[in-house]
Amino acid sequence: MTLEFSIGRMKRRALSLLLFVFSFTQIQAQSGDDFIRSTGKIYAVVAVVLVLFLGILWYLFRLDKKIKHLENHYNNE
Amino acid sequence: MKDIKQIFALMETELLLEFRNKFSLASIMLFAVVTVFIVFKAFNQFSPMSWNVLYWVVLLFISTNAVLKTFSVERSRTGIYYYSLLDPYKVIISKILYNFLLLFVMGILTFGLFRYFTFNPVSKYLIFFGDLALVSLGLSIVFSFASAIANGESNSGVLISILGLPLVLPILLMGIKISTIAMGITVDSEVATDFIILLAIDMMLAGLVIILFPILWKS
Amino acid sequence: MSIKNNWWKILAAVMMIYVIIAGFLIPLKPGILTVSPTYIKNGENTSIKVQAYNANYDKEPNLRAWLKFDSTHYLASSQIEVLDHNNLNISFNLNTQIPTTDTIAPVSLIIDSSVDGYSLLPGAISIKNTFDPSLPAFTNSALSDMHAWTGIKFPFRNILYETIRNTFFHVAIWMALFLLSTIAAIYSILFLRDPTKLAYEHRAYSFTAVSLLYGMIGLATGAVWARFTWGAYWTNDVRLNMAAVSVMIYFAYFILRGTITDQDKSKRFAAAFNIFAYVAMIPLLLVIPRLTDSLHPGVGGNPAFSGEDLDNTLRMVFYPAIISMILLGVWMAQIRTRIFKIEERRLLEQEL
Repeated sequence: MTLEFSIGRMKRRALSLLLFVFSFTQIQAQSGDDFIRSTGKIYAVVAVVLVLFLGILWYLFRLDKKIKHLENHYNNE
Repeated sequence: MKDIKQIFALMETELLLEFRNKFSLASIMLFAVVTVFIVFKAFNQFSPMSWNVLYWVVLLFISTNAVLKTFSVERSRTGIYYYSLLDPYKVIISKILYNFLLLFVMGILTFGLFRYFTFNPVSKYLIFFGDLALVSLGLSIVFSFASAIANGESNSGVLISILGLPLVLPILLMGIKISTIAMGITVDSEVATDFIILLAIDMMLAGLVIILFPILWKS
Repeated sequence: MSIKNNWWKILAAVMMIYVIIAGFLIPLKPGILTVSPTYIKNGENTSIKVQAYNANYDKEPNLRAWLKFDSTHYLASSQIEVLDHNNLNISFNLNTQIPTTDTIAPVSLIIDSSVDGYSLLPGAISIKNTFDPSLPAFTNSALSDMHAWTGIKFPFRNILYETIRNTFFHVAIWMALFLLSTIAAIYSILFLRDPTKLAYEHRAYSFTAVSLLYGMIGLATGAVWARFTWGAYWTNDVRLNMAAVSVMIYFAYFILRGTITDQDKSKRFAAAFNIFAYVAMIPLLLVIPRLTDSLHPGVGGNPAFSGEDLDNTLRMVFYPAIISMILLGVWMAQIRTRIFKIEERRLLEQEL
């Protein structure tokens, strides 16, 4: 129960993080990309690393879901 | 020599089956005519480049329809009989060659239809028809393989498209590139290299299909 | 959790940390960002405002600058005024015959400093030629005693600037993808040779899943990088589009494996298609892009990442990046395989 709750919370957190990043990039796009292009475009590197991290995180969540499914089956038997 | 004779015999059977059921060939032709007519009516005016792209896209859709029923006969009782008799290598080679001929003829027909409804942008016929031959060979290889996989599934048409379309994309892109040269839209001195690449892709895919087909045939 | 069996996971983590730290902290070599004005006329004494990046011009008393017309014609500056560590005003005495017959001559700007080494901005300025015969003849001031930076810094490239660091993430993930999909294809072959060994199929599936994940991350990171260097998320570039096609082919693998209802058949067909997809990917990603023009480096005949593109400092971080991505991928694939194993055991128990 608590595990399920915490995973649900984690998912919501991941979603809100995604939304945050998305809104953040939207704001940047409106202000003419000056921020991301500043100091030698270093924030483009940060964005790339963030995308990479989010991709791996997404796969980990999928694996998590599968393991949870198995756990539920074992606990019920 | 005996093998080649057998392959030709298989192709002959295929052709006979096709002609016995007149509707199947007629339906593909009708499909070609209707598609070309829709394209012609929708666009009214063509530039040579859009002629080129539309020609290949129409050919692609004709080929998905034409190849769809490649293995449909084998599903029935004759299929089990076939399986006990035939070498899978000969089956796939004859299927590929038959589909290649079908697509090549369809390609010429579509060209004729395009020529009839619109105009003829092609100036170098040797390059254009060589290109058409290699592209239809590639299409026939990929779609024969895809239909061998999708054969017997309830939604085989969708499955063929999903499996086949990404695989034919490089072939089609190379084909469009070469045919722009045949139409004189782009001037390229390295047309021979393009042909070699296209041929190499075809041969590689053909080799793979021939190696992998026995696995699919056994089931 | 013994170290003996899990050393490679620790290695993956340590290398990843090293790549992120070194990849972000090693500074860029100095370089010239912008020049203004970019269009000047011959026959005037011109002052050019130069903005540099990461430079230490205030620490160098003996700065030198040239305009480069071609490999044998250079014009030395007449005066250099240092505004601060990154900003200069360079004056050139352009009252001379320009050594060209063109009306507009593109010239490069070279700045040499013993602290930073030399830096060059190709095609920095366009000079309008006047063809005035009354002007004095061109006197060539050849380059001499150029300083080269030898320390540990990443190279400065125009347009790329700091994003050259993306090599460690975007390029490395594609390199790792090649190895992971190769492993998947090998397991597919092994499975087809002996279809009773389901473990091979499970491994093939897991490695393909991670390859697909890497492919999608590669496309997404490429899109972000492209937005800030080439100006658009998606371009007409050959390698980009061929990469997208190969990701689509791998998607088809999962659809195929999922849609065929007969379990045995679906696994065998999927394995066959996996080999097919792998072999089709090679011309897509490695052959066709080399033969056509592309925005990516290492295309149009020249091999990727040799000499100019990848210097030793970049290599120092790039190779560990590839290795850590591979190890991370193997790790994720292994977890996926273990899930398969448990599922299989559960099914067996249910049957009993």
